[in-house]
Amino acid sequence: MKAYINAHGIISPQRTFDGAFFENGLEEYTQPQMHCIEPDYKEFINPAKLRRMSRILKMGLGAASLCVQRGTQPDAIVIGSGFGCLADLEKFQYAMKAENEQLLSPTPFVNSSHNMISSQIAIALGCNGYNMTHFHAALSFENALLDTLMLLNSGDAQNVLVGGIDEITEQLFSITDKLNIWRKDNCSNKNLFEGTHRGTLMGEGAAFFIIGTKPNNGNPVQITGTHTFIDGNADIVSEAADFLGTLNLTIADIDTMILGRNGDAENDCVYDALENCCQANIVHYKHLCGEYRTSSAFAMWLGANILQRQQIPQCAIKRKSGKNNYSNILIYNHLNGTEHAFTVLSK
Amino acid sequence: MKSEEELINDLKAQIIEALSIEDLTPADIDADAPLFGDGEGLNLDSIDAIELVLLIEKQYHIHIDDPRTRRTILASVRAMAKFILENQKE
Repeated sequence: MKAYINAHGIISPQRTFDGAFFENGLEEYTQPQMHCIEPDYKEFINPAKLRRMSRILKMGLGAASLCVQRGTQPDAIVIGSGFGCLADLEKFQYAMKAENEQLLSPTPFVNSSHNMISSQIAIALGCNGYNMTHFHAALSFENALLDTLMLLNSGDAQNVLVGGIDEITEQLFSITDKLNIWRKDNCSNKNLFEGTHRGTLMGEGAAFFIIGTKPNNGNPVQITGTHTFIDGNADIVSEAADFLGTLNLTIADIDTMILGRNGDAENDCVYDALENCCQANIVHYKHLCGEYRTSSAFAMWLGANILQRQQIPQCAIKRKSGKNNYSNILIYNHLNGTEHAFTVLSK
Repeated sequence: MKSEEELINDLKAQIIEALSIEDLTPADIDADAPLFGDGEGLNLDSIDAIELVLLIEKQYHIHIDDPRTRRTILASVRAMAKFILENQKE
């Protein structure tokens, strides 16, 4: 069974929802939070439904709608999210405290459910098939992708809408900031990889894909495989080689690697061995979207575009090799050197 | 105590805020138009009904004891205003 990316729709801190990112280049941020550039949702969401939706729901439904407009109606919906509808959860919990658990508004409670995004998309698209949301920290998107590939392989679905989504909230920033994981020096995302620092920029985004068993255009991108593992002492090169071996590929077959470096010295050293073990083009993406649990969905969107356009956006190139025909891309991301995820895209 | 018309104006603004109706101003809302029903008035639904009951309880400290009366009380902005005026303590 082969799985093809037949459409994608993305809302991110770059101007990606309409493709202007590829003409305009990188959007600069000098604060530690990189918020999404959002479209006018009224163009694809019923205004009557829009008023009760929180920002993450609008982002999810907006990106999913863009994706379906460019692809086909899915018969299953699978989503990965690190934290789900966090802003509504915070709103509901604050109200519980403030109102002494009395007279609570139902809307933030309903919207705070973990599977609200996939449910709202299903209602909007009229998709009554398989509907699943995966919450597995930094492996959420890859587990959603794995679920999608299994659905397609079993024949239970022919076209699956799969997405990764997370949002920034002030409360999440404030709590995680106590761990000193965010930059405090007003570093520009343009300079994220300069010097040796601790901390990175917080990001968010919604990236959706229609994955089908048959290509729907003459320029198809294939998801060759995805693999996750949890290991604090992993030999990443050997893990990558073993995974590629299961796909009948070697590291030498990879012409481009998209790596999840985020400018934090302790985080980034995990990527060194993989980056140095080959002559592939090296692409970075977290200066474009920031760090969040499902940022690898942004990486997959970037990889799909590189393969389709046969061009790497200048602002994403870390190292250019002599390989100018892009046919096999390895995406690698990790969290805290413990949660690791590989995905291979092929042309 | 406020007059019915003053209360209606207050309620319109409170409804817009409570239900996040960004596209409307108080002047756009017909006080006598039905609040609920497909394509009618504000076209509100059952979740909105709960929000409006909470609005009356929080803002005017009036508890609606009999749930069966909610349909009548929430029929229109004017019906809400009349109910509040009839049940509000001095």
